[in-house]
Amino acid sequence: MTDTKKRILARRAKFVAAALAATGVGACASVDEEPTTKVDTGVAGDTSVKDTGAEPCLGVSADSGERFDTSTDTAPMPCLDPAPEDTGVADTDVDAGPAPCLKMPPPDAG
Amino acid sequence: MKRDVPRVLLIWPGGVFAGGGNFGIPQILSIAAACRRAGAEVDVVDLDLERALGPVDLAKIVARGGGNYDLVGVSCYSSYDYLKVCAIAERLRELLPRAWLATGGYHASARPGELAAYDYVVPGDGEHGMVRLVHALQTGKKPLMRELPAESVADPNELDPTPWELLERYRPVARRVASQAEIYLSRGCPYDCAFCMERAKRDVSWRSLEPARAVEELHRLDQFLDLSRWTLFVADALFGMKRSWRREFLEGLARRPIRARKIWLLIRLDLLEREDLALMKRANVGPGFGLESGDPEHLKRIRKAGRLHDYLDQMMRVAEWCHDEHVPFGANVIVGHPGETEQSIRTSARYLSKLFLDDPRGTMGFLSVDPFRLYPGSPIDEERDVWERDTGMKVHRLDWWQDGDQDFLSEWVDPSGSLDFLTAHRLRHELFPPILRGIKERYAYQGPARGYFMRSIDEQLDLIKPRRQLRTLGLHHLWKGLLGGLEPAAQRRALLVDHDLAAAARAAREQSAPSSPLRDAIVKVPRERFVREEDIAYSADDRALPLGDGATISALHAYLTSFTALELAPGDDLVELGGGSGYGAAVAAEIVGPHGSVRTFEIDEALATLAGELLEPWPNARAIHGDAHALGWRGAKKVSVAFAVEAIPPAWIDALAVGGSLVAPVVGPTGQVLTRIDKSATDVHTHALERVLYVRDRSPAVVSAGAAE
Repeated sequence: MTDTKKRILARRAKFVAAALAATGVGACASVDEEPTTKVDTGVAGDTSVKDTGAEPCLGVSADSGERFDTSTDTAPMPCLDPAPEDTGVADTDVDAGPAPCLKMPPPDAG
Repeated sequence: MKRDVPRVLLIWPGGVFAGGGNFGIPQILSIAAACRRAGAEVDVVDLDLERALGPVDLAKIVARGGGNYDLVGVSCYSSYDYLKVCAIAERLRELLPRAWLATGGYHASARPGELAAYDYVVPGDGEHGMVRLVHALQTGKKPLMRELPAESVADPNELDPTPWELLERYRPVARRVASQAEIYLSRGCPYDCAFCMERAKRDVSWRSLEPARAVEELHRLDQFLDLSRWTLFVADALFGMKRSWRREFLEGLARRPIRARKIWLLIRLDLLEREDLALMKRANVGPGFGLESGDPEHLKRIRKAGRLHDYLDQMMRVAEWCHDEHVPFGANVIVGHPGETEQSIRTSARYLSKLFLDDPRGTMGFLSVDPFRLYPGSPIDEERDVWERDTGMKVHRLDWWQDGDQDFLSEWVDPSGSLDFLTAHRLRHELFPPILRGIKERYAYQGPARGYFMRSIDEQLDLIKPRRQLRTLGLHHLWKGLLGGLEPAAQRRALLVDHDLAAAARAAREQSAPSSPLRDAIVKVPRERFVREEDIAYSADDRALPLGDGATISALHAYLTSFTALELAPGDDLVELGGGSGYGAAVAAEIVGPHGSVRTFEIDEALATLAGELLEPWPNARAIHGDAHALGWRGAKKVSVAFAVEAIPPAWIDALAVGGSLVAPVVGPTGQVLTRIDKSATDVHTHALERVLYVRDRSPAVVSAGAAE
């Protein structure tokens, strides 16, 4: 397998791991990535440690989301998905805003 | 396998990107009702909502139902869900080896052959297909066809009422995760907009509940959930296509309102009449429109169809009506749609500026500016060769849903022969931000759920931030290199001439650089050149990034902390130990200026060579391949160490010049502490500064000594 192919597959594995972690399902990264590495952040405390490796195998619980910064993605949200501000853990009275994109139709049965 | 009462589990996998889910999954509930009517026992799981109950574990979810499901259906609604849905199938296969796995939804309907992890694909409406599988379980006759025939629901009134009680488990916690409630009143959209994947569902005819039944469905949801704290989204592909239906429904809802703060729905602009707006006002409804473009010629290309001759004038009229009735509205445009040219984008922007910013009363509307995305099953996807021939469009990554970085890859399209992806991107970020900012300043709607609409405006503003641009341009650089097979050196050269990326990265650093007297250096140095191609998108973030083989480039503030501790100033000569790709040296070189100098020692030869290349623009900085413990820096007055040591070696203190200072992370009993050593002619003073976390010393001498212990 070429290095380029490996890198492309690594991107995919990382994406799947992040996507499943976001729903808490967990994932097996099928491709070797950079070894899990604790990196210097220069900030106080161990809580800021991030690792750069793929997710561990299935069954892990939802993590803090710090491993892969999916929150920074330019959200290709299906039509009218809500804004991300409303996803706190606390019960809230706040609605996210509508996004009237019609680029992708809303779900139908099935 | 034969089951008198088959057990069915239906799973909504949750959106990959959406920060908050909707409460409702009515499409799944409708299938659940049909399966129950066919004699099955059905459970429904929404993985978005499960999160509100604690860590999600598929094994526990399956076990909750007794672990004996015969049929599991997983929605593959969006192409962005594709990889996740495939991974979930693998896990389900382990947990339920005997169960039949089925999937459906837009993506599954558009690309049924791709979901090989599933036993069955149910295209189009899911009810009949899933009932077919339930009957097969009851008779013990396994269907031979993997792709079931698409059988649409001809009349939604024949379906049972939505069984909201199947979501009872989530009701107490729904507000923690879901941001709006969702319901369907109709199916199908017979229009044929070129970008839309509705066609993938096969039956595009408009089919609705009877108006009275539709109102009743809203009330049933209100009774179940108590919508007084919610905004309700009527998620129909096309609300109220028929005027008589629309009027009867809105009148019925106005007479018998639900408790929702606001009802939000999508309707075609050219269907709307003044009387509809008045009824919407009475029924507490706000409409959204797929405007798509402000250029009439381009609207034809998109095949917006309908009353195109006065489509844009109609939008102006509707905006007026919304003002008169004080009804909030939303509209979206797609920038970079195939066939688009620079002229059409500029025409569209001028129109939108007039629509939203010219009325002295302000605007009742908000705008969503979206890049074009290629959806499987859309007319453009199905007729791609024609579009390529006629417009010169180019899709750079077909089947983008098979890869990571789906958000970027789905958008990576040259709209036409005269407009490439990067130019369209640049125009989007040049022409539309002033309009979006103007909307926020002039937003005039003051009624219920104002915050709901304001948040959408804020989200649009967030999407045009430099950091977002950097992400897109960084991924463009990465994928262009990956697909073009560029060698690393060639890719680095390409980076040097990517001025859009450099400008976006600098603008992003302007916003992310920590406050410090030295921050100008952080803003100025193009960190995107010093990170891996994979991390260009994150290069402005104040966080460490990997360089490979255990090396890292530190977070922005880490350099500022060390250099501040050393009181680094113009004219200084700095030694850095653990230079990585040279970023810290470049920042230091900016600080010490032309009358100072920087030498950075890096133990990894490849990294040292790379640092040497990357530091060429800073003639006062030099990268040296060498071990910090070899003391090639003896006599230095200011030394910054970028890796953690067990203790500051006496040899380093000895090598430090009298009057000099050295800053290093030192491992202590409770973690690493940034430590400064000040050496005078008579003394050595040690100052513990603050807790930090750095990679450890990789010198062979240190590593082998550690191994021996």
